[in-house]
Amino acid sequence: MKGKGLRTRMVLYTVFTTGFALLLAGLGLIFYDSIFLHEQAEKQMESESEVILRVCEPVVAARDSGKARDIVEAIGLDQHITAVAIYLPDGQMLASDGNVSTELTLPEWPVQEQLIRTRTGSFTEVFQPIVRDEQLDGWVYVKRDSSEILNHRMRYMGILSAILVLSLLLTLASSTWLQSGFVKPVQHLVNIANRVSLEKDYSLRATKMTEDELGQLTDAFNLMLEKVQRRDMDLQDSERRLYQAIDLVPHMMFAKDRSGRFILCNKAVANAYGTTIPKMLSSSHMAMHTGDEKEAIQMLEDDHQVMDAREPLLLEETWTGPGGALRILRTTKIPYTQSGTSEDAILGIAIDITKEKEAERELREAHNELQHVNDSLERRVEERTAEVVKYQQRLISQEKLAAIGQVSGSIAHELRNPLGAIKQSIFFLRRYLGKDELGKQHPKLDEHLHLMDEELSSADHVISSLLDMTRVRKMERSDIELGAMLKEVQSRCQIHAPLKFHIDLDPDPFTFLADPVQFKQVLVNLVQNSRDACPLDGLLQVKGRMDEGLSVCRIEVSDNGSGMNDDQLQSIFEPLYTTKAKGTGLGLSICRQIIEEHHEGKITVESEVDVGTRFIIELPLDKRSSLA
Amino acid sequence: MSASTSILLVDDHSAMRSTLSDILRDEGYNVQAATSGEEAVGLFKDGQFDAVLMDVRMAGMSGVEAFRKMKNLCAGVKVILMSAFSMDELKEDSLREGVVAFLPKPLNLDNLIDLIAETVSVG
Repeated sequence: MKGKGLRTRMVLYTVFTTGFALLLAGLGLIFYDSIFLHEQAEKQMESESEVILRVCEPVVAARDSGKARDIVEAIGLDQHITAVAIYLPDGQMLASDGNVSTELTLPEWPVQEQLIRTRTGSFTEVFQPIVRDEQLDGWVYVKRDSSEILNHRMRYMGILSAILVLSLLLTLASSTWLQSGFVKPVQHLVNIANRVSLEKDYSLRATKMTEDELGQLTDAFNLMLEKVQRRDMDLQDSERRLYQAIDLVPHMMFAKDRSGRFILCNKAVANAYGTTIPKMLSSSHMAMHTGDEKEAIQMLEDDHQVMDAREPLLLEETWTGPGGALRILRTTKIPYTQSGTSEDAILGIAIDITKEKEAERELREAHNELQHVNDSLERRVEERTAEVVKYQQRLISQEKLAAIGQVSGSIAHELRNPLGAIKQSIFFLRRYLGKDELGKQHPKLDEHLHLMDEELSSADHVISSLLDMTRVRKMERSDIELGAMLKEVQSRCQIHAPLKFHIDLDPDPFTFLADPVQFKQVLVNLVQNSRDACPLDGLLQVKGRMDEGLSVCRIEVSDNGSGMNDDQLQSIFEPLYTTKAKGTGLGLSICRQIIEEHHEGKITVESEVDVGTRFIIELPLDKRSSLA
Repeated sequence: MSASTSILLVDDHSAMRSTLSDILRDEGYNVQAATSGEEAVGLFKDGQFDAVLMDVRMAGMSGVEAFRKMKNLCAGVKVILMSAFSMDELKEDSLREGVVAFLPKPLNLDNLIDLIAETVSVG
């Protein structure tokens, strides 16, 4: 019943009620009728028996079987009586009609009742004793068919059923017709209500069909719809205004409830998720989340924290959008209670700061890079400054050397003529005195002239060596065998015992390409210096090594002499710097010029006071071009 | 050594000139002195010299130029050049051009005397 429509239910109610009433009435009538008919049949039977008894008494008394036969035949005419028989008291049948069973047993005399009745199915068998002078004179047997009553009852019931069915059909038709009058408007109302609820179309109206209570109900329903429509429009208006406002915000604005369902969101959120606002609002945070599940759970946990603590939260979070693009959001989450449901919710505003972060990172990197460049620039500036300073010093010392060379050269030349003239004068005088008596008388004269000549020679030697040193010769490279050259140097510098001169060359012979005159000048200079620094029995060592890997040959001249302090080492290659009483201060500066300027090599010095000094020359091996 | 063997001595430094003249004269040579290249070339034109001893660096015409002019005048001229400067290239060029010797100053006088004697005797 529950599932059935109102109309069906009403029809069924009507039909049931009608049917039940009719059935009750019919059954009552049948019941009454059956009792009445039964009584009537009994009475009729009793009266019939009375008549049969009166008729049979004389015949039985007379034992007149002929008359008895007539009587039973007359009785047998009654269509309800199927068998009739008259018996004598001894059980002998006087006459019979119809289908009388031969196995019939007569009742025992005397009997209390006037009639002995037995019912078998629809048949009633009656034994009636014929009494004369209180003595049994015979029996009358009648078998009556009472099925007619039954048939009558059946017919009755048939008629009743027909009436019942007919009336039910009539009821059904009438109730259907009647009910359609008020069920239709109700159904119409129901349809409209359904459509309104499904389509959310509050502009729908129910059609008024009648002017009765249903009509009033329709009016009330329409009125209600109108109010709802107005409210809905107001609501939509305010929602539109709200969305218009929040859609203007370029940042993501959203509201979520505790389950993570989006209650509100603006276009920025929908765009970020690559969907529409209605889809967002019908989904949950977890369903919409496109990135890592952990990320989504963290966001939900943050939401709950805000709701539980009832405190706004400002945080930076990472969010993976559709397509896996990682974004950094600066999100503010504010707790609130939803009006109406009083449920907890959060309002969130998320600002995409990915670009800012990127820019910040780039800026930081650029800054670092700039810092790096700056540092390296500073370093390079320092290096270059040091180089420039060094170069400047070198230049100054070169210029100094050149100036010295020029000056000393011109002085030397200017001195040579007068010195030469003196020398020639002495020569003349000595020859003259040699031939003259004066010379013999004064031998001291020649001795003094000889002394003058010697001193002139040594003065000329100084000039020569100064000229040698400062003279710029044309570079002429050729193969030098260091061992042989060292022998010459040893002899030139007068290195002999007890001073030890140790030569260690690898390979031996040690051959390389350089200007022999200039290189020898360098060696002489270094060996002389070492010799001067050494005690008489000191040790002077020259070591030669080929470094094929670096393409340089390395020659070391070392001694175990007095050594130099740092200040001396700093200035040792400066022109005019000397620690010797008789030094010109040009030797090492010229050595450096020869090695570094002319041969593109390198000369360095290591020294320790009272331990010794080591000069290291490095010459490039592949320099075969001649340099001026 | 005959007195007829004459030597032209050229030097712009007077002390050099006078001392050398004395030494050479003492050796028996007939020495004529000039103070410049120009003067030397003038004297060379007019006279007959067995040898010329000449400084290279002088004011005006240099010894080498004077030698070339003399060589133009007399192809077989015997010139000994002297220099206080060590001028390697000049020395080589001059020797190639026919200078007898290129001597550095100060002079080794014993060697000089020998050289002159040798030069004039080859004649």
